[in-house]
Amino acid sequence: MSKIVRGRILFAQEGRFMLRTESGTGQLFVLSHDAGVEPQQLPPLQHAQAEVEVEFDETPGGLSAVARAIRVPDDDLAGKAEAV
Amino acid sequence: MSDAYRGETYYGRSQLKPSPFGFMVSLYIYLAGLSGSAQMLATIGDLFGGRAARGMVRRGRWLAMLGTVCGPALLIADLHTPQRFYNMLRILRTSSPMSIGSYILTTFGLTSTVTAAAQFLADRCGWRRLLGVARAASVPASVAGAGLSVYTAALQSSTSTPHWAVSPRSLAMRYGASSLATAAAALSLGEHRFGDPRTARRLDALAFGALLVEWIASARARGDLRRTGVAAALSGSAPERLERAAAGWGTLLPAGLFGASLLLGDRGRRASRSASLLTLASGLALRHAIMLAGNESARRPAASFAMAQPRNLPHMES
Amino acid sequence: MQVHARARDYPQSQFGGVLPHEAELTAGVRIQPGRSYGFFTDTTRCIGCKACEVACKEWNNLPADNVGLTGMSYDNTGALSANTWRHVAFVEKIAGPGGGPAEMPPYQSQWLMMSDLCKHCHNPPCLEACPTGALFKTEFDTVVVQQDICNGCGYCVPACPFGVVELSETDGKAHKCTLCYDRLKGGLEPACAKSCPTDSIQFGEIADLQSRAAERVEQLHGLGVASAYLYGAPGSPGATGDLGHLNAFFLLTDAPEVYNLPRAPTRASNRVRPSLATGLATMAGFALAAIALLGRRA
Repeated sequence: MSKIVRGRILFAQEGRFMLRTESGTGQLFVLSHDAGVEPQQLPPLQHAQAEVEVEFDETPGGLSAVARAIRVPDDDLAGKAEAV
Repeated sequence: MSDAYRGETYYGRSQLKPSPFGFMVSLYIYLAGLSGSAQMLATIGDLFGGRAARGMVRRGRWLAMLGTVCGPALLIADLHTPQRFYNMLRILRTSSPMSIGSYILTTFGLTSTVTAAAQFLADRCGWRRLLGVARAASVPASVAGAGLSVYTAALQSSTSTPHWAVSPRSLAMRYGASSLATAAAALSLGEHRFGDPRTARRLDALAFGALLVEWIASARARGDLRRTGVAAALSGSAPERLERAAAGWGTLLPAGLFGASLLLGDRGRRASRSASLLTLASGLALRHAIMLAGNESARRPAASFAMAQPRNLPHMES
Repeated sequence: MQVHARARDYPQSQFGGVLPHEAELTAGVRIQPGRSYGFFTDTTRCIGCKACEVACKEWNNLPADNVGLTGMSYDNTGALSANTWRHVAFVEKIAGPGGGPAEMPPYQSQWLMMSDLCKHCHNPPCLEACPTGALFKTEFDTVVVQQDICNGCGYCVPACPFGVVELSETDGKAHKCTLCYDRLKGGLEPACAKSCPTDSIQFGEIADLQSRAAERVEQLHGLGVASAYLYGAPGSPGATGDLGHLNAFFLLTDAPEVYNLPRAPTRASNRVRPSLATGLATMAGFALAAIALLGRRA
């Protein structure tokens, strides 16, 4: 069962990114190969400090999670991210 | 630095990483060889075999479609980011057999499809002229088919995986011989069932010869593995036993049956059929055994350290 | 190490942003495209603190591989992987079944520690195997996997003679040390070297590092450590089989295998031609046999 968390991307490296969640904690994600989002789309989301919604699965180790999808609830920013 | 390797390892941990390739890739290597060699035999039959070979030519062209259809599907399914499969044709890198192979498979697929389509239309609609098109397309298809039969050996040998890396030449001979043996065996099955028994016998003789070459090449590969010290590190493992069975009984038993069938003449059809089925099965077993043995040799530090000793360096080393 | 003259220009302890050419202050080298950069890892100076592992994970945002104990030495990382680009190996040399050794040799007593990483080979087998061109040589003479091109075929994994590259099952791409490509572009010293408290990991231009390393070997020999040698410098173990020199090279004091390094690795692509040529010759032979057998007159 995938979970959903909201937050802003603190920083991104290749397909990995740290999300500052609404509760204020940092959470590390790795983009799944079928996430529909390419690694090069992450930096613009970070620079825009857009609020994003990440659908994810936890990994057995528990220190990072697998991002299955990233959605931008604000449509204007979604357009900006798509344009990259 | 101490001169001789005394068998030290780092807590017995692997020094190399095994390839992520498994049964799907073994199956691809098998089908690619079978289809590529079948196309080559069909073209030779078409150019030199005359009327008697027509049925074999047709069946060879159908068989080539097996690799054309299943090959790319298996390879794309094995990618870890399959939606980017087209990046395989982004560049041509002559130092990478996988890059070379991508172009061989593409050429083979396109030309084999034209060949098979022209053959189909000529048979169904009676457009005999299209047989010329089939012949024209089948020549490049069979050259690509010859490449398809053996490039997979270069692909495995051009890695640091001990079992594959120590016998680049023998492995290519094994794959070439096994590809031809399986193609001849499959076509012989078809000839015995629907076609010309004389052509079937000639295919049987070809398969017989190819199986003997495969046996010799496997013995050479065993020599390579022993000389470099990789064999000792692998002895007793399950992949090694499977490989010995596929390379030993898997070649000698069908070769013996093909030989018996050739001696028996018209009464040898049963022996030929058993030999063909055995050849087809052992060809797949050989590919998968070599895949597993390679991955196991990468996991065992004794195998990788044995290979990476100065005495095993190529002679061109200055 | 001498402090760079430019250090006097920055007396303050906090900075508003990244300093231009910061590596000049931290590593004494100005990073310029078109030159060769790498690491010299001097294992006699390694204290096994794993600061390099942590700095690498932090900068590159890499998740932990496994949270647990391996049950062997202090090495709980185990190996280099898709998520671990620096790995400190710990070798405890225990003499004989009777317990500890009678004599303690100088330097490091009975522990060997080595911070391992991608060797950034001069002729990189992973790059030569890559069919998509995702692996490339950067303007700093380092080897990097381009994540937007890699399709996860996995051929670089068995190609690597050092067992460095790995596919991530999560994102389906190959990963390895980038020698902090992004930091180099910004004039920064790579994270691991910058964090190393003993200068066991030295970053710099290859020619400079190689001469520094040769001097260090001389010095160690003079101090009585006769076993010191370089691994991966031109003409030494590790730089064999047409691989060329390694841009990340090491000073070791025991057999390479002790550190899980191959003594004489080879360049995999040298086997392409013999294998393909033999294979095609075999097929040509079979084609002639088939022509003879299937020919009309037969």
